[in-house]
Amino acid sequence: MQIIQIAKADFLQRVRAPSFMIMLILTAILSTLFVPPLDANYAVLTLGEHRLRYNSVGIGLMFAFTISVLLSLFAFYIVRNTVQRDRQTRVGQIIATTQTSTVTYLIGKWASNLTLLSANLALMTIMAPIMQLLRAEVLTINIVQLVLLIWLVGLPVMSLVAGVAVLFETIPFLRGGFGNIAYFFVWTFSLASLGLIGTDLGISIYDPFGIAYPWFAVYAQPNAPSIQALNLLGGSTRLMPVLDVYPISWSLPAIIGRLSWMAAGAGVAVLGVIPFDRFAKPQGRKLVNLWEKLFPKQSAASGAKAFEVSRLTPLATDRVRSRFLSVIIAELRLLIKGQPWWWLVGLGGIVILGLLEPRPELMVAVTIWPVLVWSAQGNREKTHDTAALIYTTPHPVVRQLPATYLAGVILTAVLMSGFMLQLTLSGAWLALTSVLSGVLLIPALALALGTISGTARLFEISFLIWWYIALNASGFPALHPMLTDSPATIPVYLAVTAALLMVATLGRLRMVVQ
Amino acid sequence: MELNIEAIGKQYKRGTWSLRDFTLTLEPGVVGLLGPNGAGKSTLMNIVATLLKPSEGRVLWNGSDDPNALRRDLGYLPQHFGVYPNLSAIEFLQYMAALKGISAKAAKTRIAELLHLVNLEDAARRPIGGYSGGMRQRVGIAQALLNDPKLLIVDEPTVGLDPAERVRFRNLIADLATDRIIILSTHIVSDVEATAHTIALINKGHLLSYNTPDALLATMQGRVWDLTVTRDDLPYFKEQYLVSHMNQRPEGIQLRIVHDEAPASHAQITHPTLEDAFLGYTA
Repeated sequence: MQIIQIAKADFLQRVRAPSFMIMLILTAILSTLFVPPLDANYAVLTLGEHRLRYNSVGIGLMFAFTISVLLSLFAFYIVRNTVQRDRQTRVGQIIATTQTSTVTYLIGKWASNLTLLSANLALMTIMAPIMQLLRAEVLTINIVQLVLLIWLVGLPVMSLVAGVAVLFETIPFLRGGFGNIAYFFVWTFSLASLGLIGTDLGISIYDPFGIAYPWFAVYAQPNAPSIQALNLLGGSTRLMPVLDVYPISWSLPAIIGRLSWMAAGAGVAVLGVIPFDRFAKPQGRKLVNLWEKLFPKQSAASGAKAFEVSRLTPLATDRVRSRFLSVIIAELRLLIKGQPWWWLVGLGGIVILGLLEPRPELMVAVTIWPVLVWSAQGNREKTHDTAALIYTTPHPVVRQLPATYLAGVILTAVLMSGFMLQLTLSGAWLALTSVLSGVLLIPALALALGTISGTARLFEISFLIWWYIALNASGFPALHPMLTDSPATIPVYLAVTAALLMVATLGRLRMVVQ
Repeated sequence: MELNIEAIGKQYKRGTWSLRDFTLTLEPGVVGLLGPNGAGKSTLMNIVATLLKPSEGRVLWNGSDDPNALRRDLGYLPQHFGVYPNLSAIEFLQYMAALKGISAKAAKTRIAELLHLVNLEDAARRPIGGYSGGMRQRVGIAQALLNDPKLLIVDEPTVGLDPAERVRFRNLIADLATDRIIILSTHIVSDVEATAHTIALINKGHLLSYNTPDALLATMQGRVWDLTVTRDDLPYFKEQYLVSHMNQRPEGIQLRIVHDEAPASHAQITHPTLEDAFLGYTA
């Protein structure tokens, strides 16, 4: 009962936020892309040279695989923050003083995450037959096949993601942006271990993604080609030969296997019992404890002197005017402050590395280092609830926002300074211009996404995906300004930078009275 | 120096007005903004502090409706505010000083004075993330005073302060009030009683009264009664009258009632307090 109440309250809190409706709208839009038109130049799911026929099994497989492989990444970022919200709103401290056990609390949070993600699955279950009818290759709908594929594959994956999200929130160092990055790599390695990106599929029962069983069923069909690579997002629907897919019979062990993964999701959440502090430690406490050990607290007697009334020295009028440089320095200090010593050492190491090895791939690779610093831009006022203080200072749009951006640019320039110096010395002007356009672009992206979303997550995940694709898609250097070898793409990146800055400005204008 | 609040109103999306036709002209001194929860105080503060745009009307600071002109002279202590937990009090105040356009040299002196004033000198180099609620509130007070504001808006400023700090804060406000406008919003009547030169009573988005404390009390003369009743009679009086105070006495329960006529034949007229006036106007 307690679990249901915890999950219900948390779920209601989330569905009443505008972001829930946005998520559903995005899901509906993406659902249309999962089933490309018959004359499209891309295919969502291919087996070797074949694409799947658009009957209910084929469409069910497309939805199921997309949910399993792609939604498992985004779902984490969608549901993350449930425990953190209780920490920030201090509701957690109230819950911690009740009889609710930690296990109950964590399972309640997992259930809330899972319910939220199930809303997505429900929407996709509605969208799947609609898309089948819209594409109209096969008009007979087998709703049982659609439902079984979407829910037997998708729900256990969502359960695991829901559990991992809760677990991450209970581990102090994975609570924030570092957890966002860590999950991206966990997800990438999970897929790689499945062999999905390669050619082998692995063993079905040990497959948390749930794609091996239905896919083996397709392979077992008499009309299936000899074993060939399974690909997501490849080929061309218009040009590929069509493979008929027959209804999949789910065996009892296969269903039990999927239900086991579903239960494993709750188990992962319960693992959080070990690191979870049950809201005992407010944020920042660790630093203070160390400080307090070194410098004991002030005595009660000195505390009693509080607000000793005295006249303050009046501030001369000429001491108060626009000082843009001071604001940039202050913003830069805010960016760097709180970073651990090893982060600064790493930054120095990257500068030296740039002097020694100015390769484009390396330039892109090292941009992962300040991702958590960039991601604070544009949303810091909301995250730390300082908007009321910052937006009542003079010119919060024309002064503070550009200063925030320029502080980000300076940090990026420092990061890339070794590379830029080496490129200057070797007269590689095109490469230097490319790096400079990247130096301008990345902080603009952070600022824009931070301003419009009010969180760091949107930038963190967008950047990671971009970074990963840019590093791995060797045939497409234009994907990243620091990789590009064409002078024509640089103005495009500068235009994108300008557009992003415009987005950030409009986002800030929305929050500030003019 | 003058702040004109001209017929402002704020309508929210669902059509409800949290503030309506609110007009007030303020001159140097402390104006206490009193009202029950949901009266519209925070909306009014947010509009005057340039955080919220009114649906109608305007706010003029020395004749100008430019928000940045007001922001230059504004010190604002919101009821709820956050800080950057990794920064120390000094660093946070340096950051705010930069945003307020104060030169580094002037800021250095000012920050030192303010940290002394709010008694945070000993903790000034510690990360704010580990401060107690009262210490954070004092950082908030310091940042509000950074730019030597001509208009100081403080929303529930004594929340989180211990009794001694509260008394000292009241004294600070009184001391600062000679050459600036201070708007003090609170539901703690004693805070207003101790510091305010004028009191604006607000309820359901409307200004009910704007007076000096003496004038406000004068309007309550003859409307506050003192009487002692038995425990059995208590429910009747609580239901029929506005009881502003109760005291247990050996002879029964002593009640303080706000009412136009005597609630009982043995009731005695007594001197009104601001709390009586607050209840009399807003209940």
